[in-house]
Amino acid sequence: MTAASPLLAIRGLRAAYGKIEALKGVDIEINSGEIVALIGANGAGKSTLMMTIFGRPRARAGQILYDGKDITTVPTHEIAHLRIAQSPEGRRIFPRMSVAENLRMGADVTDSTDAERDSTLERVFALFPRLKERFAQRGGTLSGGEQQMLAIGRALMSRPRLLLLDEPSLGLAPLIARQIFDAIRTLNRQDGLTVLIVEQNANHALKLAHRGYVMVNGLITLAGSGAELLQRPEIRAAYLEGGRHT
Amino acid sequence: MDYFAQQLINGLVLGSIYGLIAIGYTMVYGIVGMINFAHGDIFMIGGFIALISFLILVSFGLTAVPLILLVVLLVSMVITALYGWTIERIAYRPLRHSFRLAPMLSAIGMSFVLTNYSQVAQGARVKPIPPVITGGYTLHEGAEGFAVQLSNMQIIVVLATIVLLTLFTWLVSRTRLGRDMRACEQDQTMAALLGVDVDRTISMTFVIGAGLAAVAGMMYLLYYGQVDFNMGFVAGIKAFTAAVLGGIGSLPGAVLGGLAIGLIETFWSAYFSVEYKDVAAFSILIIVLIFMPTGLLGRPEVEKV
Repeated sequence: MTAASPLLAIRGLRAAYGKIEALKGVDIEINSGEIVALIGANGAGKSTLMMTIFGRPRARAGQILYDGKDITTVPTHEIAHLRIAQSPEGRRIFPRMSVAENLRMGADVTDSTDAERDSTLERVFALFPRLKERFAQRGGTLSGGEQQMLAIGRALMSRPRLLLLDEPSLGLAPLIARQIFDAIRTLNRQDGLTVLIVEQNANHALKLAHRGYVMVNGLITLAGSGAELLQRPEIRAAYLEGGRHT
Repeated sequence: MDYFAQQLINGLVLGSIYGLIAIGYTMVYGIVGMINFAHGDIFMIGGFIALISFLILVSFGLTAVPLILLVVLLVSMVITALYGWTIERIAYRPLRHSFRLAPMLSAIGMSFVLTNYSQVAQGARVKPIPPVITGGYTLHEGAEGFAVQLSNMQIIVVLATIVLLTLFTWLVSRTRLGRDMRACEQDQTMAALLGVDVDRTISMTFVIGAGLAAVAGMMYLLYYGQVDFNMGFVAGIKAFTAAVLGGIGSLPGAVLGGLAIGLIETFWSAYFSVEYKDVAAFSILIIVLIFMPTGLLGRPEVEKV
């Protein structure tokens, strides 16, 4: 698995908000076709890592290699053109745009033809039929779960190779969360989509992922296959059993 | 009744010019949340460039009025748009991540720069031109010899406003640029994550706003037959008022607000006193904002998060 060069390689990445250092030298690799989970407590720096890949904030040190190319200093708006898409923390759908327009915003970056766009749209509808029902409705009027589906759907509209998902199950009813995890698994198996998923729900994420990383205070402290990490007692204690620390 | 009808026409024409300027305020506010206080002066610059290009064309011996006007329109839109682009670039963009008031203060400074620069470059005197578009229609001949007139120039001003409002409403609601603009307005970071070049989109907003102000400046020149370096100040404040009255951020609101201010001002002048027309316009503004804080067509800031 490590023989081929990884799709995304992050080396010694540091990033900060003003004087507060959020990433203190992070190393992560994601191979093409993998689902990688990043778990950790609130404030560990997981979302910062996702955003630093897009240059917000800019990395202070270290390297981000995508498909062998250094993208550490590429402007934020050009990252999407490299077919990396993000469903960010807090979903960030456009509240005063319709569902249709939100999805269109995702597709615009591809410069694809109408026919290509329609076929991608059909795929998104197949994963999230609810979006079809809400197509003309304004984004701001959707429920939390629907907004989450829209944020993921919008990211998928850009036909990404690498999809970054930040807490896709946050605040969702268990049934809806499962639907979303199922959709991610389907995308990975059928299209070979590479996924980096940040989750507080470590149980779900590690069951879904091929591999996982654990982040504490801006550093990766543990890495391994999903199944392996699920068995580790410190993970069970910290993230799976109600946060009972020893 | 005839007198009333005539004032209605005059008010609508004045309001259309305010409306064209107001679109620039409302678009910029919508996207960067800043009041571009230099926008009134951009309108003045547009008027001057229309005047200068008009005089140059005439001095070349051109006599075909429609051709002259078309060239003047294009030249003033392009050059004024360039002013808008440059101002955003040098005075606002470097301050975008500064504290909220910084770009606003910079805009006020820019307004003074443009006013004084025009005064130095063009002189302080009012610059007149002879009537270019003449003729019109007598709509109604009154008993006491008062006739309701609708001039061709008035028709052009109102038509230009309707066409431009339609065009830009279409642009904002249906095109990719318009979608990008609205995306930047709602969440710049997310827009950038989706591949939108936020800086370029903001630049385009200033360019479009300035282009519309140039049309307004040219209409003003042709309608009133004069421009002067100071005309941007009062017109700018009125147009800004129009944008707020209509609901800042809304394009149809800007034109509606412009028409409202134009009508109030004209009727007040006609029936009460010319001296207090501005007092009337701004009093109405205050009253409307007390009862409708988001303006006539503004959206209430209620959203589900």
